[in-house]
Amino acid sequence: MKNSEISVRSAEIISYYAGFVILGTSMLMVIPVVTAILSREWIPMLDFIISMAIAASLGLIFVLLGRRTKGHSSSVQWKHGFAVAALSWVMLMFLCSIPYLLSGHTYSYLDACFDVMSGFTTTGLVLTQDLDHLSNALNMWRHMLTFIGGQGMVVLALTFIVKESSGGYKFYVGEGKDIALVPNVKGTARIIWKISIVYLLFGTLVLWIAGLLLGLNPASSLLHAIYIFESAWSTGGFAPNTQNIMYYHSFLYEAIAMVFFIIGSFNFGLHYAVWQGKRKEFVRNIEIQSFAITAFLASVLAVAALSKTGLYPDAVSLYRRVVFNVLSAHTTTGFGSLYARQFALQWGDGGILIMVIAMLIGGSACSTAGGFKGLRVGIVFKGIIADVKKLLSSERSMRVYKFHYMKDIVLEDGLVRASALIIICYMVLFGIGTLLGTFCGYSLADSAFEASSVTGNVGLSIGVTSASMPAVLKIYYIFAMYLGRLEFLSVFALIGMAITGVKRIWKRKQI
Amino acid sequence: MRLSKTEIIGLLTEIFGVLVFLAVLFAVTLLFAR
Repeated sequence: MKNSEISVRSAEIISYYAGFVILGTSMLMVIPVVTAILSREWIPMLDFIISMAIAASLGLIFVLLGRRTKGHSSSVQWKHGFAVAALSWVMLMFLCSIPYLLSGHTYSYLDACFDVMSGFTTTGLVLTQDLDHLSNALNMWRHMLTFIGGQGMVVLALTFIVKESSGGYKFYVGEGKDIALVPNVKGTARIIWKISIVYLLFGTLVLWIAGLLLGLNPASSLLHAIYIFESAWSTGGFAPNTQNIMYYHSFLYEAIAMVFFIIGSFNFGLHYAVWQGKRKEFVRNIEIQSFAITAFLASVLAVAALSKTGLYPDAVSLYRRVVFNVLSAHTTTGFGSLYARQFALQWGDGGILIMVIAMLIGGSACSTAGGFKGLRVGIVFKGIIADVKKLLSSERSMRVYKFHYMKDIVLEDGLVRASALIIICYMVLFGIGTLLGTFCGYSLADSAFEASSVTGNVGLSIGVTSASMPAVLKIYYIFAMYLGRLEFLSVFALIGMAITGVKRIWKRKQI
Repeated sequence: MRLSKTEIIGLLTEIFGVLVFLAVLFAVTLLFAR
C-alpha cells in the first residue's frame, strides 16, 4: 500500500469511530431535553434539540466518510485509538458547548468551550455566568458531561454503539484508562459503568436524605443530590450554585461529598478487586498507600499552618475549611468550601504551596481523577529507594524490587522511567501555565495555583479564572485541561499523525 | 442490575475505609485546634 493510501485509510478509521462517538454524545442530549420538558423549560428544550441536530448530522457525516472501515475493526492500530480519543474530545468540546452558547449564560463561544472542556476533563472551573439561575436542563447537561467524562466518553460511545470490538482496548488506552478488568473491553466498560451506577444510586439517595434534612423540597433535593453526587464521584467539582458546596451550609452534606469524592478518586481496578472480595487490596495497593500518606501529610501540614492564624477557631471549622479543601485538591475534585480570594488573602504562601503540590499529585490512575497520580508517585519513590539501596549494597548482590498494584509487580527501570517522564510532562505543562499567568499580570502564587488546578484537572480557583481573563490564558487552560486528562500520549499521537499526513501530501505535490 | 453479597460487602468496605481515614484526620485536627 502506498504512503498516501495509508494516510487515507487512517483518516477513514479515525473519522468512522470519532463519528460514532459524536453520534453517541448527541443521543445523550435526550436527557436534558426530557429534563426541560419535565421542568417546563421550553426555550432550553429548543436549545438542546438544535444542538442535538447539529451534533447528530456531523456525527453521521464522519461515519459516512469512514464507511469503508465497517467490518474491518481489526485494522485499528494503537495510533488510531489514541487519535480517535484525542480528536473526539476536541470535536465534542465544540459541539457540547452549543447549548451553553444558546442559553445566553456565557459571554462568548470560547467561554462555553472552556466550561465544556472543564466538565469533560472533570476539572470544574466555571466561566458560565449566573449559575443560580441556570435552567434545570443546562444544569443536568453540565453535571452529566462531568460524570460521563470521568468514566470515559469514547469508551462509553464505542462500547454501546459499535458492534465490532476487536480494536476497543486501543480506544480505551487512548482515553487514559489502560486497565483490563476482564479480557474484553466491553466487559471492562460494563464493570466500570456498573460500579459507577451503583454508587450513583446509593450516593444520590444519601444526599437526597441529607437535602431533605436541610429543608430542601423533595424534587429540589433530588436534583441537588444527583448534581453533587455526579460531581463528587467524577472528582469534577461543579455545583448548581455560585457558592459551590458552601450553598448548603452543612457539615453533613460536605462530609458525604468528601466520602464520595475520595472513593471516586480510586482506581476502577481497585473497586473491582474489593467488590470481588479481595479486601486486603484496599490496604496493600501502592496507590492507596501513596494517597493515604500524601493526603494525610498535606492535611496535617495545612491544619498545623492555619491553626496558628486564628482564622478557624475550632476543630469543626478547621476541618470544614482546611481538611475539606486539601482533600478536594488532592483528589482533584475542586469543591470549594472557601471563596476563591480567601486562599490568596488568608492562606499565605505556605498554604498555597501545600495546595499546589496536592493538586499536582492528584488521585489514582484509571480513575476519574487527574494529576500525575499516586501510582506514578509511588513507583518513582520506590525507584529512588531501590537505587539508594543498590548503591549501599554489595556490587555482587542482585536484588529484585517489587510493589503491589493488584498483584506483585517487579519494579523495572523502564517502568520508573515511564512514570518519571509523565511526571516531567505534567511539570512542564504546569511551568508554562505559571509563566503565562505571570506574563498576563497575575502574581506568581496566583498563577501557580491556577496552573496546577488546570494541569491536575482540579477546579479550585484562586480568582484568576473569570470571564475577564485574557483569551490566551483561556485557550492555554483549555489545552492544559485536555492534555492533563488524556495524559499527553493521545494528543502527541494525534499531532504526530497530522504532521505525517501533511508531510506526505507536501511530498506528493513536489513530485 | 443485581449485586451479590460479596459486592455489597466490597462497597461497604470502601465506604468504611474512607470514613476511618476521615475520622483519623478529624482526630488530628482536634489535637491542633486545642
